[in-house]
Parts: sequence; C-alpha cells; structure tokens
Amino acid sequence: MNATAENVIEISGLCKRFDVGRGGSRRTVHALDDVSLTVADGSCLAVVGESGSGKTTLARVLVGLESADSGDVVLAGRPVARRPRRAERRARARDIQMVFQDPNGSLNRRRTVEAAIGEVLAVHHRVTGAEARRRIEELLGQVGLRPAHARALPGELSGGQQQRVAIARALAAEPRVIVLDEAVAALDVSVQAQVLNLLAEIRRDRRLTYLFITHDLSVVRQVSEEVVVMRQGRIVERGSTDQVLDHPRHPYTVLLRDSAPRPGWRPRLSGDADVREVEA
Amino acid sequence: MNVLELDDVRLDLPSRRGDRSLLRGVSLSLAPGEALGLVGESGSGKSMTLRTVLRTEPAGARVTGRVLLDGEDVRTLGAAALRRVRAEAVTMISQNPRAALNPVLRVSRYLVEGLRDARGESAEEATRRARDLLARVGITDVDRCMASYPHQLSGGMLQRVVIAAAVASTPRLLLADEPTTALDVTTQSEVMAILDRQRREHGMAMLFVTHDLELASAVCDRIAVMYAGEIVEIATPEQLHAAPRHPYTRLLLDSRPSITARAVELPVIPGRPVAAYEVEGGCAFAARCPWAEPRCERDEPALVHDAGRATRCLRAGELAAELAGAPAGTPGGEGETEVRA
Repeated sequence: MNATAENVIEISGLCKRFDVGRGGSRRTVHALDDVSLTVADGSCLAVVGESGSGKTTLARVLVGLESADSGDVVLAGRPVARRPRRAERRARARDIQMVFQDPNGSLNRRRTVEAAIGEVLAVHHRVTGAEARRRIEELLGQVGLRPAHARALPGELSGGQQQRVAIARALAAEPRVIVLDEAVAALDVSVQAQVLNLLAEIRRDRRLTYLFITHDLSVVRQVSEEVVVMRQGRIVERGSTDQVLDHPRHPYTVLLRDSAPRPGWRPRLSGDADVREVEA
Repeated sequence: MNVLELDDVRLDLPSRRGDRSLLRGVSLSLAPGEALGLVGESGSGKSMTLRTVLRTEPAGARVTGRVLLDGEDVRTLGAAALRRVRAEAVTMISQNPRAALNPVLRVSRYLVEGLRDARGESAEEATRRARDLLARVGITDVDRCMASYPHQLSGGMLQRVVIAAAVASTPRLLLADEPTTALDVTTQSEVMAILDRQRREHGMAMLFVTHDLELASAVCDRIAVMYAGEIVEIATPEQLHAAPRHPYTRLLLDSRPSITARAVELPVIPGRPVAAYEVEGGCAFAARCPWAEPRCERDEPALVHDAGRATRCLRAGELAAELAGAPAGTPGGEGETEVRA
C-alpha cells in the first residue's frame, strides 16, 4: 500500500458492455470503451457528458457498484479486484464514498438523520453511543445543519438539507475520495450555490479528492481543476478546466459549450445537415 | 386585447394544519404573440400559476381572482366551454412528453387522431399534415417516427412530437412547463430552437415556466420573477440582466456559477426559499435580503409599475443604482443587440 501516491485514482483501459433489447433489436452498448484517467490527490476532476456517455457507469465501477469487463482500477495505491470479496468491498467503501443526484437514493425515509449517519460510523469505524452522537453533531455542523436536525426524518427536510445530510453521511466514513454524481443538479439555484461553496470548503479543509460528474459546464468551471469530456463511452477530450472550456478542441466539446444557456445565448439547431434542410 | 390576463389570482389548498396559501395574488398579462417567462425556484408558485389557466390545479384548491382568456374568464366557464378552450385555444407542453402520449399507440395514431378530432380532416389529409408537422420539428426519418411507439423514441424526439401536436391546432396560447428540463443540454438547445420558431411562425403567445433564467431570457420577450407565491419583478431579459430592480433577482443572477469565470466563492442568498404559506406579513424576501430594513418586515410591498417594468420592493427606488451593473461574466451590452422587433 502506498498512501502517499500522487494519484489517488488510476484507471486504465476500463471497458464495460451491456446487452440491451430483445430478439432482432438485440445489440451491445459500450458503456465504457477503453477509458483511462488519473486523479491527483486533493484535486477535483470533472467528468462531463450527456445521457449515454458512460459517466455514471464510470462512477459505479469506481465505487464498486458495478464491475468492469476489463481494465484496471487502482485506488489510493491499492489495485481493486474486479470481483472483490466482502472485506475488500468494505475497505474500498471507507476510501471512496458517493453522493447521488437524488439524496433519497441514499437516505431511508423511515430512518432519522442520526441513524443514517450513525450506521456509517458503526460500520466503518466501530464508533457508537455517546462518541457517535458527538461525531454526528460535529458532522452536521460541518455541512451547515443544526444539532436538532439529527432527529429529523428525511421527509421533514428540504432538498438542500437532504443533500447536506447525504454529504455528512459520506464524510462519516472519512474517505479520501468522494464521487459526486450530478449531486447539485436537482437543487435550486440559490441552494446550489450554498452546496457548491460547502463542497469546496470541505475539500480544502480535509484534503479530499473529488470525482465530480455533471452535465453543467458552469459547475465544471466552478469546482474542478481538470476535466474529461465523455461521449458514447469514450473520453473525447481532456485537459485543465480552463483550457478545455476556453479553447475546446473536440467538436463535441464545442457543441456542449454552445448549447449551454448564458447571457446573450440563443438556442440553435446543431450542425446536422438534415436538420438544416428541414429548416430551409 | 390581451390573449391572457391574470388579475389578483390567489390559490389556497386545504391541509391538515389549515389552509395553505400557494399563490398570494398573481397579476400578469400576455399580448398576442408575446412570450412571457415565469421564473422562480421550487415552491415559488410558477407551475401553479400556469395550472390556473387550464383549471388543472390540485383537487380541493380554492382559487380567487380572474383568469381572462381573450377577455373571457376561464374560472367561470361551464364544462363544455372549458373542454373547447382546452381543445382549441390553449395547449400545454409539460416536462415529461411521455405523459402526453398513450404508450400503446403509435405516434401516427396520436397525431392523426388529434388532427381529425380537432379539424374534422379526412384520414389521408390528416396523415399528410402529420408528416409535414414532424418534418417541421426537425424529424428526419418521418416514416420511422410515425411507425414508432413512444418507448422506442428518445425524450428529445418525443418532445418534438408533442410540439408538433401542440402547434397543429394553432392555439392562441401555448403553456410550456419546463419543457426541456428532462433533456440533455444539446437536445435542449435544439428543442428550444424548434419551439421558438414554431411559436413565431404560428403567432402564438407563450407562458414559459422554468427555473432557468438564462433559458427564459433567450426565448422570452419579458420575464416575471416569482418568489413565495407572488411576482416580485417583471422586465425584459435585457433590463433584468443589465439592471435588476429587485434584490432577489440580483442575487439569483449572481449566485449562478458562470461558464466563463470561476468565482473564489459563489455569492449566496442566505437561508432557504420560503413557501408562500410561511410568509407572515411584510416583504416575503425580507428575512433573506441583505438590503432589508425594519419596515420591510412590517409593510407589505405592492407590485409597482413603472415604464413597462414592475417591481415589488419598498426600497426599489433607492437601491436602483446599487442593484444595477453587470453580474460577473456578463459581456457588457451583449443583450442590447438581441432586442426583438
């Protein structure tokens, strides 16, 4: 084990195929097609793409919710087995945690905030009782919630508060890496700004590494140092965030950038010749 | 005459803890062919406002005020007249196109049946028109699309079919509730372009509900910003970006990250959006407003109209200069070149 490795995540040649459809329309989709990337310790890599790009499959393979067909994943210097045993999976969960777009995906609506966070403390760090309550209060404070929120059920919280609980729960494992899958996409603009600032502050304070999956290039600019652009299972462009957003090289990155609403923007049909024909 | 006029529309929903107010007096007007964006965060009442037009608000809701469609109050229409309005004068496009189509019928049946019902056309005539409509919303393989079931088409493709059906009856008013929120960004751009062009070609007015201020700015003539069940500001997109007059609009513009520049820290609006029923006298935004004075918590501001704009803020006059100015990342004056004829 090499805890001081410069790259916390090293992925090489990752492939994942799904068979979809039935009978005559049966075909194979390459969700991941030879994907390689590295993420430096303490940095934030944004993964940009639309539906079908493979960005979520990449995240799921990385945290162990899905296994790849081929390729290697090295997490914090430790190679990750393609079909890990239970103990290995648990060790990986301590290193890497995930926050989803819909906080209800990771919160049980019948369990209090305290129970949701307490479970992670007990499983990963064997912390229970008074010590657990103290840690829960501390974690809630770090994500901007009050101690009283510990006894709330998810349904009693707003969307922004639920997402803060999901972040606190991920932090409870004391991971080195957090994978954020469209974690701010469902939040209102004013709440999104609060959560983006919170995530930046936590990363700074705890020296965490983020893999930030998003379709939103404004969010990419705000949170990441590096970015990869994915399309149909492949990485089509990569580089520093400023370089890729200011001087995109791949036509698809240009299209993504031109499609994002901003002041002075007008919706446009893409360069598709057939679409143009119809317009004429 | 205005196509649509809302006059002090209030909506209360009974709940176990007593009546909950969702709309606290919404007034707006839409001229023929005009597009008005209704922008706000969740719970601000933007979708509920739209639903009062076709009377599709939740069961048990109590609505007061007038909703005039071509001068006629839809709130007092009988069942038959309401059905006619829904079939002919107004169409709605929602976030989820799958909800609009019957999953066991092919697209051809959905379109052709709709045309025959609405206009009494023959089957051949209606089929020809349906094919033409699909081509106009940018569908290249019309044959395949006509023969497809909804589940065989992507969300972007289906939303085009819904737009084709919506413009087929050339309604006077189009109600669009977050029509592209569920779509990918590149698809959103295309679908919005198609919707915009179809709307202009047919001279339809549009009430466009969205949480995305930039998207609304791109396709609307005026924007109404909603907060806690009421409109806090109405202005053109150019006016809103160059010089917002309500503190909430200013902060909303600033807190959205920019695609062109990274902020050291994003400006945030403290607290969380309040629901209409949580407002207890005074200005609904006062508790979160950095410019609030003691009187803001006491006195309720009215929507004050001034030279084509409207603002609901007690301090609008004194704050005008401070709230104006380009937000970070806005190219100066770019909006001016985009003014519509």
